Amino acid sequence: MSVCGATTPASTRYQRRVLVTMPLYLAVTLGAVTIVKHAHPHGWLLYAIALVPALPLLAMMGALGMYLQEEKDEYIRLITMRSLLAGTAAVLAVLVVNDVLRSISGAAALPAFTGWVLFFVVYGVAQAAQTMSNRVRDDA
Amino acid sequence: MRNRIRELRVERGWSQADLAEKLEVSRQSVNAIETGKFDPSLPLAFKLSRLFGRKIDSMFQDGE
Repeated sequence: MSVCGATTPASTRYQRRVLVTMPLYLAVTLGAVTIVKHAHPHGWLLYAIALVPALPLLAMMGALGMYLQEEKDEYIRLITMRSLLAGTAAVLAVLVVNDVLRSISGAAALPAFTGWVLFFVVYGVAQAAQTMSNRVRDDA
Repeated sequence: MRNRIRELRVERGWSQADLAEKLEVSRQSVNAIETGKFDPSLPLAFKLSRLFGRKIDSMFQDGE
């Protein structure tokens, strides 16, 4: 992960961790979908199988937490914190508005993973915006 | 907060990358400090103080 164009030892470790969790997520999701489709489990077993793909995603969030703990560059850490806050605020805002619409007007729930995708999109945009505002001149 | 970090760095003929290496931070951090976008923590301010041989209050001025 490069924050503001800077790669730090902590960001390299974060990148390695995420690179492990992503193929793991794809593998367990494919496995879970295949099992549900062909073995037709039900009851608690169905829920247990359906929960397994969430574990690598939770691990991804854990990797972000570890990154924040390990990042020694305080400016880069601040940029990451602000971006995480922007992503979290966006997800909370969208979810609370949707919840109000659902409870009062009977609107439909948002599609699955809306919060997850929104979080990382806003997180990325917030990082890019901060990078743009602190452009480093080549001759400095 | 205004500071004299850029001035002190240029006096010594260091690039932002040189200063970043001495401080063990990213070049982006040095740029953010020099442009006043980011105020360093006390430990980093003391590091700057030792590096430039100046007191902290001679390098940073309260902008208020």
